[in-house]
Formats: sequence, structure tokens, C-alpha cells
Amino acid sequence: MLLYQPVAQRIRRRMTPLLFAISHYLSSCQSAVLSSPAVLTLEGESAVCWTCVGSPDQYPYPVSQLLSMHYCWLFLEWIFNSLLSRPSYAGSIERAVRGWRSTPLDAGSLIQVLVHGNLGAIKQLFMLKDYGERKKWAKTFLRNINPETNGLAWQEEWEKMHLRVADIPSKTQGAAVLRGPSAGDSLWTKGAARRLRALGVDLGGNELHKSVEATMRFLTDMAGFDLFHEQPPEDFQEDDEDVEDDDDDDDVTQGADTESNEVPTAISESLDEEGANYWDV
Amino acid sequence: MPSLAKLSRTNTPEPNQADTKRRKSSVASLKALPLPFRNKSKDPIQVPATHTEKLSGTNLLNLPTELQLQVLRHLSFSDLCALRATSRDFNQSVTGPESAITRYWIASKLHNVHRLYPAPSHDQWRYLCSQMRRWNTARHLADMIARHIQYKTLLYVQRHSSSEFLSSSILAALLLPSVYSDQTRLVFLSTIFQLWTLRLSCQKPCGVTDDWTATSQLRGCFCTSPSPSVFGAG
Repeated sequence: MLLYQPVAQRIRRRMTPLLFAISHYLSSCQSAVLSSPAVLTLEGESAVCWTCVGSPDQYPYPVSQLLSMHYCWLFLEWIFNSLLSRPSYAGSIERAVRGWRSTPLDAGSLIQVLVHGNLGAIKQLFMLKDYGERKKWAKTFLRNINPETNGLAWQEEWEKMHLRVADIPSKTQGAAVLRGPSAGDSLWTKGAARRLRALGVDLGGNELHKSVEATMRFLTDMAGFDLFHEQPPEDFQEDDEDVEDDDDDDDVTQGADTESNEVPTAISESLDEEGANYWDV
Repeated sequence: MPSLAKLSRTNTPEPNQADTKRRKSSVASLKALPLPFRNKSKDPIQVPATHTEKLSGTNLLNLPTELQLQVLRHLSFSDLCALRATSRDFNQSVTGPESAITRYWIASKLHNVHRLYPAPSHDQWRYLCSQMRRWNTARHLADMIARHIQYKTLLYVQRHSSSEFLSSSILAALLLPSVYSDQTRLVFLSTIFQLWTLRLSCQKPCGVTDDWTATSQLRGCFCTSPSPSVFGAG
């Protein structure tokens, strides 16, 4: 296991800032949805139109970071969908025994879980071992934040998302937000492609959506070697470029003088393990 | 004749009396002597009262802000949170609107986070906590993904070595017929065949081998099977 330890450290070090930035993106999606007005649907119900998601303001990242985030997003989307999809290897008998016969969550519900649950939802789903448990957790999460199904404590559930008091929706707004997304809505891809095109990078059709090649390339880049076909080299070491010094007197000026919008890469350096574990969400 | 209840009621002392008795009997003997009667020569270090006052927390707060910052910047975030709980003054100095240590943490430790999330002018401590929480969630998730990749990769190596062992044992059984009698060889081969089929059936959902397509490799890497396979458990 020690052979893989530097690899795991490298993956963790490289992936954390990307996940942090994706968390920022999901939060901006949530605030955009919560602040947009509701419209009447054909059924006579008010619902928030999720087309507000994907505006260029939500991508304040430089090109290199945006590209990395794009591939990380595809990878994360793959994981998220596989976590909440019925396992294809299970036969009809196994599905019946395990209770996996009920309909899976629709695309709109998946978007809701992702936007309102943020990375914490993925982390929680990752920890649950069974598809049935994961689906139950996601359904309970959506039921709890919905004012129509949880009339008493839905506000407390929204407060758990660490929103500001002003951002917690009213009862009608909350119900309208949760009625919003449809299967056709996509969170990241369209806006990112538009933004990248504006920045001079044109992604091909294969790169826009999740694919095996893109995900394998991303993981290979994270690990530093082809981890699907090779064993880690014996003299494998992390790149030193990402590791920054912890004890420096110029920290204040470094933070203040940086003019780029780069995603943070070294917060973990400034947080020791004890401090980082303090906020165990 | 008085009843048993009455007797017990009369025999039990009043609560106040019991308290005084208890105090006189046990606690008083354990009490420390008053200060004037203590033997001062036995104290290892006699610290003057004025000196101890200087060492107390309130006087640290009387230092200039720059010196306070120099001291407090060496604390980790959990230490900073623990410091808040020690006194109201420290709580105010950490979480107050003009807190130097909070501003230092936002400017130096969070690096470029405040480009993505502009720091508010007020309630910066809450902002710092929320960013730390967000970072910690991202770090934990990255850790879980890395561990998962590590685990699956280790499984692949184990499977690879076990398949090599299996193929070599089959070859040995086929190429050395003189060692075994016909019946023994038959039993041996059937056992190997059963093991091989078991391995293949266990490997299919989450296997990563060279012969398989890239899709099955990735599916194997992030397979959502409820429990590890037989070879994984081994």
C-alpha cells in the first residue's frame, strides 16, 4: 500500500483545489437560482427557470484552470451519475432481492441534489455502500428541503446549507426552486464551452461531454503516470511545483498582491491536519 | 407502637444536620490550609502576584496589535477556535469586526480564495469559517477518491499476480503428467478450472485487465458494487 501513497497524495493535492472551485461554481448556481424570479408553468404552478445557470459571470476562472475544472467536472459527473444509477451488473433476481426495482431518480432531481447538496452530497453518497441507501438518502434530502413535503422543518434544512439568512427562500420560492430543472438542463457544459470559446479555446464534441478517454486522461494527469496500465514507478515523487512553503513572512503580501483569479492551490499547506479536521462537515 | 415508617423518619437526621456532619467529618480534614498558615518555604517557585497577573490572558491583549499578530499567527485554525473559548476578550479579539488575526488568515492562508469569494467587510470570522469548511469538504472528497483509486489499483495488481500464478500452475499440471496419476491430475485440473471460473465471475463487475476495453477499466475503477469481491477481500 505504501507504493501508492505518494500517488494518492499527489491526486489529493491536485484534485482538492479543483473540487474547491467546483464547489464555488455550484454555490454560485444555487445563489443564481435562488435569486431568479419564478414563472408560471403550463400546469399553473410557479417554477424557477434554470436557464439562469451557466451565465458567463459564473466562470471567473482563467483558461488553464477552466480546462482542468472542465475535465474534473466530467469526472465528477461520471461518479455522481454512477453513484445514483442502478448497477448494471445486477440481474433481475438481485434487483428484486435488494429492492432496486423502483424507478431511479430523474435528471432534474440529480441536478437538485448536486446544486443544493454541493460537494457534501457527493461525499455523503460516496460513503454509503449500497445503491438503495444512496437513493434513499437523495430522496430524503430532496424531501427534507421541500416546503411542500416537509412543512415543519424545511427551513432548518436550508440553514444547514450554510446560507445567509437573507438567502434562505420563502416557502413559495423554495417550492418553485425545487420544481425547476428538467432533464434537458445541464449545469456546467454549455456555459463552460461558451466561456472557453470566448477565451479562444474550442473544445471538440468529444471533449464536451463525459467520455472514457477524457476521464482516463484526467486521472492519468492527476496521478502523474498511466495508472490503468502501469504500476507506479519506484522512484515516484510528487512535483515540487505545487508544494509551497508554509513558514514565510511574505504570506500577507503574496495573498494581497496576486492579481490573477487562480484557484487556490496551497491552502492545505497552511492548514495542518489537526486544523483541517476541525471542521468535519 | 410506632410504625416502621415513623421510626425510620425519626431516625433519619434533617438534611441540614447531615450536611454539617458530613462537612465536619470528612471534608474539613481535606481542606487546604488558609494562605497565611501555609509553609511558604515548601513552594518550589514563589511567583509574585504582580508577575502572575502579567502572564494572564488579559495582558496579552494589552500588547500592540502587531505583537499579538506575531504571537497568534503561529496557531493552527483549531487552536484559534480553542482560543476563542478561553475568555470573552479572546473571543472578541478573534471574531471581532476589526480582528487582525482573522484578516491575516484571510489574506495569507486563504491565498486566492478571496478572489473567488470576495470577503465581506463585516463578519469576516464567519466568512473564514465557511471557506475553511468548504476547503475541508473538498479535501475529504479528494481524499476519498484518491483512496478509492488506490484501492482499486491494488486490487488489479493482486488479480494480475493471482492470474499469473494460476496460468503457471495449469501449465505445470499439463506439462508434468508423469508426476501425478491420471485420477489425481483430473481432480487437480477440475479444481483449477473451478477456481478459474470463480475468479472470472468475481472479476467481471469490477475487473481491470489488459484485455478488456477502456470502458470496463473505468467502470472497474469506480465500480459501485456493494461489497468487495472475493479477490478483493483476500
